[in-house]
Amino acid sequence: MNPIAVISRVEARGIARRRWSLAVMVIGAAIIIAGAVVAAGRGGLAAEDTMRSWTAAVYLVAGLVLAATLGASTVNRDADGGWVGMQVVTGTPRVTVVLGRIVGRLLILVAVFVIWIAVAAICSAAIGQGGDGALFVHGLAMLENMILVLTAAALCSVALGPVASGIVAIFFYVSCLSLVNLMAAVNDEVIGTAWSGLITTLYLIFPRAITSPMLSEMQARDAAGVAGAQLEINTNIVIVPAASWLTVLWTLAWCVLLAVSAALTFRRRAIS
Amino acid sequence: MVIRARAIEVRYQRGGALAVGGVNIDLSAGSGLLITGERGSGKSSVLRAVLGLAGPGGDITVLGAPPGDPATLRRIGWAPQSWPFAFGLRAREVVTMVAALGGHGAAEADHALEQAGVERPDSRVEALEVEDARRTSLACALVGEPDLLVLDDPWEFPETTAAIRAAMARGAAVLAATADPGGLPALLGASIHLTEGVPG
Repeated sequence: MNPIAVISRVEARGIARRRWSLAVMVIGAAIIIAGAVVAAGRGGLAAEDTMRSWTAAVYLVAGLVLAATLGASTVNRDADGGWVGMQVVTGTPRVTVVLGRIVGRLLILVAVFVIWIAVAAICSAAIGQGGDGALFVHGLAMLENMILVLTAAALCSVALGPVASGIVAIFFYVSCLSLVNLMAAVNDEVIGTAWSGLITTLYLIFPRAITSPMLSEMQARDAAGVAGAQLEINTNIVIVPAASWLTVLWTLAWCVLLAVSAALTFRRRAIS
Repeated sequence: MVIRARAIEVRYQRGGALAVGGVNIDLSAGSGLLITGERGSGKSSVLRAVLGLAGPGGDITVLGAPPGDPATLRRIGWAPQSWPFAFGLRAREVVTMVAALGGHGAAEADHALEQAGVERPDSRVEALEVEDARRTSLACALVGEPDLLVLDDPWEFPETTAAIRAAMARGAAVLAATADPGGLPALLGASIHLTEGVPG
């Protein structure tokens, strides 16, 4: 069997059995169900907004906790504790070992998001809103954002400890999100031209947080709650547009770059 | 010669202090070598240098290749010290992974678990008694009858001595390190004592 498949399967199995990963998944699902219960007591657009904003909050907050924790454990502690060394001494190239460990963590992240998205779809149907395709697309958008966080944390974990890796990765994601917001402000001409060149350059280079059509529309109405407060710059309301397919592909390419960088950086690290 | 090393040096940080310096090893097929010393004397660092895990300095050849060469590592059985396993996995899954990555089947993993005397192979590693954890580590080293056994802090179970004897009898070399030698010096035949990273 392919060594990446062997390592990713073992890593995913081990993580799936740990209490913290199960707890994050269950708590997230419980909050989505609670949102549906609250939404059921309301009517029309208010019910739809409640269901969507509670679910979006889970995707953002619980998703960040899950992705940062998964990515931050890719190398550091297991490399110092001997587990990564055991995988390397089987003759598996170091690059392959790290890629397998990242893929294993991605499998857990995807599995948890699939469960949350399914729970949200069932809850939406139960309160009479159908499967809610917009919320489904938002789930996929947030999954991509969290893959970005996971791969950034994985890269950090080659050199930093788990806590520092997780924090740096979350700050990295917030920076990518801020860049998207600032670019929207540049396009709306609410930022001085002196800054627009720098912001545009950074926007073109760095990965971009993905904004779904649902979040963009709710943010404009200030109805997205924790998941996306209305953006106001220089007393102007800025509408953050939904990400284009080019942005989706660009950020995915960055995820691949971060994962490969983690694997290549690991080649010279001392391990136990 | 299975291992030929001259002036092994290990530094964990570029420009940092030497963890190990001036260690020479000559280990031929069918023979053994024990590295002894106090805790923190550099024994494990020497083993990591031989395996290419710690980016060593010096002139080192292992099974005819530089340390860390993936094709050579496939011929080495490695039993790390303490508790090197990822939580959540069962002992059998750990050894099966080592077997699969080394190109061996599940039957060879089961045989290694049996040889090492692991009593509860289907227990999660975090629930293992220390003794069974050490046996699981030994089982990882025994998978596939390697040409070189590298044992870090092996506990002296009857299965350990039997495995070392069997390995040397079939022409494999054994390199071990421990702070508590017990009967291992007599079994392995040669030893090096380390004090603060240097022989002596």
